[in-house]
Parts: sequence; structure tokens; C-alpha cells
Amino acid sequence: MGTTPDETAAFLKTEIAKWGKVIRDADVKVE
Amino acid sequence: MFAISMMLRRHAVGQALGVLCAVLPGALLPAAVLAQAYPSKPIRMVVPYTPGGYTDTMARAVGEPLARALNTTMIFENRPGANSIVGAEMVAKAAPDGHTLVTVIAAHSANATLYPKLPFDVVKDFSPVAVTSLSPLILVVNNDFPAKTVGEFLAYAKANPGKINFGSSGNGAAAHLTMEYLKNLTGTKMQHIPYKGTAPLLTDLIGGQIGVAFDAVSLMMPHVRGGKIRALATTADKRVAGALDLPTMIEGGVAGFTSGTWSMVLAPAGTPPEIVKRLSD
Repeated sequence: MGTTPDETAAFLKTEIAKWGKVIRDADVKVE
Repeated sequence: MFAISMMLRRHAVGQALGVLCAVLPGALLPAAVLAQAYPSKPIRMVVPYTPGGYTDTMARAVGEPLARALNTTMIFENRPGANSIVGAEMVAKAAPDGHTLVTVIAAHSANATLYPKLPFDVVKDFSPVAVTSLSPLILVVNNDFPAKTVGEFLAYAKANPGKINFGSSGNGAAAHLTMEYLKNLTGTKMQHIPYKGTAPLLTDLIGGQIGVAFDAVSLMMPHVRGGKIRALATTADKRVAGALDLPTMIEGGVAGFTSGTWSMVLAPAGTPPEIVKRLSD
């Protein structure tokens, strides 16, 4: 399809870290 | 923020490794025998958003050829709600036999931080299959919005704190978080108006109920070309094919500002690796 399962897992972990930083830095709340 | 080029380089490395693995066919034999029985029925692809949006479009674009390649059919099931949590939870708890998959987008990775009490673990409860698309976002405004450039937009936002309504395709969507990122970086204040997807957002952006929004380039460009809304910039690290006349946010003066969404296919955790590999290949 696109990337391998291992690359996909690594990409997901990177994205969790990136968005986590954005959310914490900007203090975004949704609940 | 999004290292797309690095990602593509990694993919090339992955393909090289794939070639190396091919010299050990004996090690894969039991797996190959198991995988022969798959798929034994149609595959269900859960789409955790409404039809017609980015996720739905990408799920179908990938799922239909995949089903043909596996000699089966794919049933697309739209299960929108709670920033993709409803649909993802269904798949996290489904039988891990390769007959249930989900297409998630950047929101899935954000949910890990946004929702401390998620009913699943965004990593541990899934077997990742493949990243299926990468898309930068585009900053679009109502035709009457008093800014023609990113610089003018930010100057207007600074002069009118809290007065600009920005829309997004949902609370916690990449489009929402990208504007929060921009607000934080530039010290501006704008009011968030979440929508249930891109279609209702677009209606209100054209109508002027909201002044500005980020969304996927591919979804917005037809309306920009049609004169319904205006585009100020994209969030890619360089100009985007199909929108070469548009500057990037970085060119617009926001140093280092990049963002984007993506789509990814996941299977439930515990799906046999040989099945995941067949899907990924």
C-alpha cells in the first residue's frame, strides 16, 4: 500500500510526539 | 513539523530491507501456509468519519484496489464520532484476523494526548499496516476577509484579538490543532468553531459565518479555483503541486511553520504478521 508495518509504527510514534507537543504547548483542551 | 521527505527516504530503506529478507524464504514458510487461507470473507474497512471527507476518500482509494488484489470485496463502514474514537474503538476490539481494518488520520495520534481516558491505546491496541497518504493543509478565508496574504492575516488577527472565528472539520482534528499551533506561535487569539466534517465547514466559510480555516489542500483547491473562497498559503515545506501559485506559510513569514494530515490503515493488535504483511504489500 504505502509504507511497511514497521515504518508505519515508527511514523505513528513520531506523530504522537509531534501533536502531543503542539497540544501541550498551546494548552489545547477538548473535553 | 512533518518530515515527509524523511518518511519517503525511510520507505526506500524499507524496500531495500525487503529485498534482503527475500533470501530467507524457509523462515517464512509456516507463515505463507497460514496466509493462504486469507481472506476467507469480505474485508470490513471502518471509516471513522462521514462520507465524502478526506478519510473516506483515502480509505476508498486504497481499499478498493487492495480488495481486488486480494480477490475479495471490501465493505466500507462509516462510523463517525468523537474525533475518530468511535470507529477506532470498534476495530481495536474486533477479531484480529485481518477481516476488520480502520483508516485513521492525524487525529488518531493527537487523541493519545487530547483524551487521557481513551477506551483503547492508540499504539498497543493496533497492528499498523501502512501509511497511505500525506497531505499538507491550506489556509483559506472567506472572500470578504480583509487579508490577501499571511502577513495581512496575522496583522489583522493581532489587531482584533478574539474576533476572528476559525472553523475546523472537528474538535481535535489536524486542522483545529494546526490553527492552535499558529495562534501559540504568533501570540494571536481566535475563536474555534468545530464542524462535523469539511462539508458543513465549507458552507459556513463561503457564507461568512466563519472567516478562516485550515483543511486538506485537495479538498479546498476546487473551491478556491471556483472563486468561492480564497487561499492564502499551504502548510507544506515547499510549494504544492496543483497549487504552485500559492506560497507556503514559511514564505508568508511564519518561520519553520509546517503541518499536515495523513491517512493510515490499522488492523486490531494481534493480527498475524503474515496477514499484515500481505495487506501492507
